Amino acid sequence: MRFVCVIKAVPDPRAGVKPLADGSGLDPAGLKFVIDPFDEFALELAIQTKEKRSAAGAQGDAITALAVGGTPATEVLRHALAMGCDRAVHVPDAAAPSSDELALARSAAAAIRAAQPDAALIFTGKQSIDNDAGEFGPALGECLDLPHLGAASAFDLSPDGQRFLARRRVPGGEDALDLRLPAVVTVDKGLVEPRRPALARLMKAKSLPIEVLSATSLGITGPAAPPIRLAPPPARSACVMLTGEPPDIARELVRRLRTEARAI
Amino acid sequence: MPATLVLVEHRDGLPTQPSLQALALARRLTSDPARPVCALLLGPGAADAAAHLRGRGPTLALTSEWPVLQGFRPRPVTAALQAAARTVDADLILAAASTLSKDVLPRLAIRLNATLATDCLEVTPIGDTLRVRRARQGGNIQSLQDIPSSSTRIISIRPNAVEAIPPSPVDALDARPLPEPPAADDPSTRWTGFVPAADSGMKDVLDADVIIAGGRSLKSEANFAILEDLARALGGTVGATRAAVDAGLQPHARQIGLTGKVVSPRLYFACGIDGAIQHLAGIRGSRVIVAINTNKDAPIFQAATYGCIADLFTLVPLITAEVRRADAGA
Repeated sequence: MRFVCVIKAVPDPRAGVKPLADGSGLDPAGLKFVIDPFDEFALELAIQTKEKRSAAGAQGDAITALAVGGTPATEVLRHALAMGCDRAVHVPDAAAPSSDELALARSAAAAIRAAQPDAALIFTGKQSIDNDAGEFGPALGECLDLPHLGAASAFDLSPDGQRFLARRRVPGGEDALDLRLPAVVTVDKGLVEPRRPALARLMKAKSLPIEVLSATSLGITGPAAPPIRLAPPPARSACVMLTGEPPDIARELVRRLRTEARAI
Repeated sequence: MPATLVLVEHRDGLPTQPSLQALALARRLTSDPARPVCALLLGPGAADAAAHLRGRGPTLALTSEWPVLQGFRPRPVTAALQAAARTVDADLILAAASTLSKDVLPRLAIRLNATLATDCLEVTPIGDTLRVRRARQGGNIQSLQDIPSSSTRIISIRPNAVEAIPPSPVDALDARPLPEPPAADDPSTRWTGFVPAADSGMKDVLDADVIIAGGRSLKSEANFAILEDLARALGGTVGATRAAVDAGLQPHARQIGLTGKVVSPRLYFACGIDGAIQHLAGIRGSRVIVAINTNKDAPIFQAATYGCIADLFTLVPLITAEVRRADAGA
């Protein structure tokens, strides 16, 4: 079976992300890119799925890691190879800013059709932490005319590789699903714990090839989203500190929540 | 004349609060009184819930109780939205940001070649353009985007970002079923049932108006009972930080933050939570944040509305007692 895992490089939130003063983009000072944590779950699920099948005697399974767009994707593709992917494909010139998830989905769909048209399962994170939108996975399913499972919290591929049983969290519990392949699966936290590749694997991945597909040759079409302007969030009014003995704090807090904030 | 279409979700026969907020937004964005605002309600119970929309803004409610619309069915739901949009000639489609709309609106946007803006914090009309404000980078940054009227616009609004409008008694409401188009079913996706969470019968953090959250400083799962008591007194639920979930003190479903859920309740209690940037990312949309911490320099106080410098094990039971006393009419 052929698997594809679509991954994205996102700014490391721990590195302190700031907009430029004119709002045209992110301040490059101190900006560091990492693999999106949800895409890391997706990679791990793809690799474990392949390993399980291989242990049961399946042969010739392969995972292609795919990254689209101008974000610094080479490093995250190398990380995917070190984790256990068999092939890495990059579409560096896709005219899709990292904020335009529909355009990213159109580009990724075109790349999958060109590089791995026989993909039976396409894994990706349930959302990317730069946009927190989760538009990419369902849009990718639509572009490829495939079903998708959004935010999988359980996943079990049938031995014949024809369908999978899965669950997803919804308010109050989980939905249980039975999907037919080929399909897109977006992965939630908690299903698998991503492996940390050994240094030797990371070093070896540096010399492995990354295939480059040009967006022009893929013939990607579709409208572009209107441009975005970045701004810091509006400041919250200063915190009202309540001090004193705990019973006084409790009384004062409940009074203010009722009369001042009208929150209870 | 083109119309505004609002996807209205319902539970137990009633429209959900976030959907009523989306209807209020539709009304605010409709300056021309002749422009129709239409609601779409899906699945079993749609017609009953539609009766509750009278006076909430829509002039027409389309209901589709197709059997294929139960459970997680993104492609049939997309087909229903597409059919409704065609029926009323919608050029603006609104919904509440939810686990349902998240999986459906991107598909609809691809089908209609539309512009999509999900989970907006604010939508402001500027002439024919809609300016949308959204959170980026875990809420550390916001983006502004001007969406022109030249293409179909699909927008979802974060719960509690706008207020619902009280119903007006005068408006009339026409309700009618939406015929099922051929091939609306999707045999590739079979919903086999709903598995209720095996926990305390409390609301999901995404559904709750009040959330009492704790971190690793609670030390044990049993100690979360202190937070559950306050949650019960306020009609809310319990949430947790990533550290508390990773330490096994709480289930993943309750995790709030960058790799958990992003919440926007009316009232959020951060009990013994220092306020790591990944946690703050999940709570910034809350209307009122109360922080309880013994460390006066904890970053959580930068984000909070009210700060209490106290030990949570002492203070939280006192707050619970104070709420109960006030409820008893003292």
